[in-house]
Amino acid sequence: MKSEPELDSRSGSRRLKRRAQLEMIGLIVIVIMVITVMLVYLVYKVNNPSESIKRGYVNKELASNFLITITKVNVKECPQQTLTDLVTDCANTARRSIYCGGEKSCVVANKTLYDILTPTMDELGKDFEFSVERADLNYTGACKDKERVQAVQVFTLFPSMERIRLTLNVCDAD
Amino acid sequence: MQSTETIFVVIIIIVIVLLGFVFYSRVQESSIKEKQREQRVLRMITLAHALSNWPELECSTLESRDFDCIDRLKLGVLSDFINVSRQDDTYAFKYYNDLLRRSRIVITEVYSHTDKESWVVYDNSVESASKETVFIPVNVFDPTDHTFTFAMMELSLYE
Amino acid sequence: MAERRSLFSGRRGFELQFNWLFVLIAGAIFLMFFFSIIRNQSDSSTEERASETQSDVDFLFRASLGSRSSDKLVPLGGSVEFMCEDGVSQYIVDGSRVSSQYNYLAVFSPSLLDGKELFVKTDFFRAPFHVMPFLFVTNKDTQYVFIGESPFLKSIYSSMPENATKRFLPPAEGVSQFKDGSFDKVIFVTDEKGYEDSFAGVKLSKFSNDRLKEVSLVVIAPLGGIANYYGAATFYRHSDSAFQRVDESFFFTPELALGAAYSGDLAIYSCQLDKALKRMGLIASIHEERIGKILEESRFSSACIDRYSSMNSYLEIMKELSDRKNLALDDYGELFEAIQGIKRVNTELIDKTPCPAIY
Repeated sequence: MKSEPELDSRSGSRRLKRRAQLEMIGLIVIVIMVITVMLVYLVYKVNNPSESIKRGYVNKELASNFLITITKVNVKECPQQTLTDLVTDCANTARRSIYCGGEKSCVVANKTLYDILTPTMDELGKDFEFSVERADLNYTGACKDKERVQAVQVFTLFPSMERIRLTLNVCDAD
Repeated sequence: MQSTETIFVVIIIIVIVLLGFVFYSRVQESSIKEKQREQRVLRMITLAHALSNWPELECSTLESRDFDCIDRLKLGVLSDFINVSRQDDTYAFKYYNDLLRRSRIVITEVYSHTDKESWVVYDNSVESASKETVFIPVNVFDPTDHTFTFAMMELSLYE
Repeated sequence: MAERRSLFSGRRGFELQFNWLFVLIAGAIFLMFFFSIIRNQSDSSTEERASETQSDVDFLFRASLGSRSSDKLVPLGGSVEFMCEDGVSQYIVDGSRVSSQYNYLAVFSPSLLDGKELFVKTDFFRAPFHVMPFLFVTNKDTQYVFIGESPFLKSIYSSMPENATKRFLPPAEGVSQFKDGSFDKVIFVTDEKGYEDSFAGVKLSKFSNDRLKEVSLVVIAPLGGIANYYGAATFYRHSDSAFQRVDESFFFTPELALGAAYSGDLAIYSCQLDKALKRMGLIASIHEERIGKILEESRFSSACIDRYSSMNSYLEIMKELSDRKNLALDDYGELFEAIQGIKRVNTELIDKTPCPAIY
């Protein structure tokens, strides 16, 4: 039978070993926690990049700048008329008077808008829709169910002085 | 035994601190790069806006008080002017180089009632560098017949 | 009785001692490491703040390239010093290690601006076509004191922003008794008559000697009043006893006269004037080549062709004078006349002919 001091020192050393093991486990737990926190942060950063200023600018400015510049162009089929002239003539349902290259203003305006917007937006990787109040001028459906940015240009009809809106929606292409 | 333990503990702590330091510096580095990129893009956007109002390109103000409007005749003059000033290394070239630095400005007509044209206004591009590009719709105004066409200004900044 | 063994004696005692020493050394290293990190962070955050302010100011300058005319209040995180040496314009924000150059803009301001915000006015320099944007920068701690009753001075006064620290000093209130309002800078603006009546040989008695070096005077003297917007701008600094003449420069448009008043500093004004002249020569060249392109289309009438020819001669004068150094008052008079000539011919082109205008 072992003596009491021998038993005491054995249990003491066992206690010491147990403490050391517990400390090691604690340390490992801390290391694992730190690595986990870092990984979570990295995953969060990768999945939620901050919105680029450029993307915000391009989406917001593009639509309104497009409208302003497009409506000023002189039309191929009748260079003495601008797109604004054709759009307002088309919307002025009671007093349509412009014929452009033998065709009605609505037809030419629709074609011109499509001709300008299609290659440009394709190049930019965007889709678009446009419509004009009370006029037979629209191209819709491309931005359905997509996040879009809208620009509006207001025209005044003469002589009624009524105002109509040309709306352009721009969205990212698929 | 205890001192071995202590040494081991200290080593682990140092490793954790070093790991943390490396991680922090990597995060800082990527955040600095991101900030630099944002600054570059901001610079590009402000330059793009400024170009439309450049006296070298803007439409005659008394005739056509429009922004995003570029004079066709000035377009024809400016790119030759910059090229000649580059060869002669005049004040003009220093001015444009200081303002535009490593960039490329191209204006391409997309819709015109006459033949479509394209102008390379400024080209100081670098093949190997990273590039940011922005497209701006503009009108090209012909002062001889007072007509407008539609064009895209492509501004690329190289770093 | 068992011997009380010393805690630090024997092998166990040695281990304990060793542990403590080890902990102390390791602790000290850690503390030094963290203190150095904190110090680096603190230094870099000061630099970061200064660099952010610097890039804000840089962005403001670049954005001004695209705006015609505006008045802005810009927050400032420190002081900004403007310098111009050997034709290179630069500014540096307090705390920043590098300065920024701005050679494509003209910025008229006192040499040092300190405070929480800046008043920034943008206006295009016209000759009479657009040449380049001028930025007029000041702050609440710079006081502008106008002396005189001429319409010319009143037009400069009203061109300054409403919230700028500006006032007219009535002639009855003598300059010598002008009180020190503890502004960072005081700039007196007057014309020739105002100078003769109020400043010649006068000392500002209410200012201490230290404060006198922050006082300057600009005498803006148009030839022929408000109709003939060209003349001399003479700059003075206050020494211990009276205002001392530094030197004179010239102006030939309203924007330049305003710039002289804003800056109150000959070096800064002359530098911006030099930039404006070079840029004017550049734009004149472009307009001249553009006229050449217009004339290539031979369908224009002789009425147009004659006007384009006289336009070309005015543009030639501008180009030639902008290349020359050390222009005299007469040269600025010629520039002024060339500007009026271009304005007149351009109006005729628009009103009386179907030909393209110049600007």
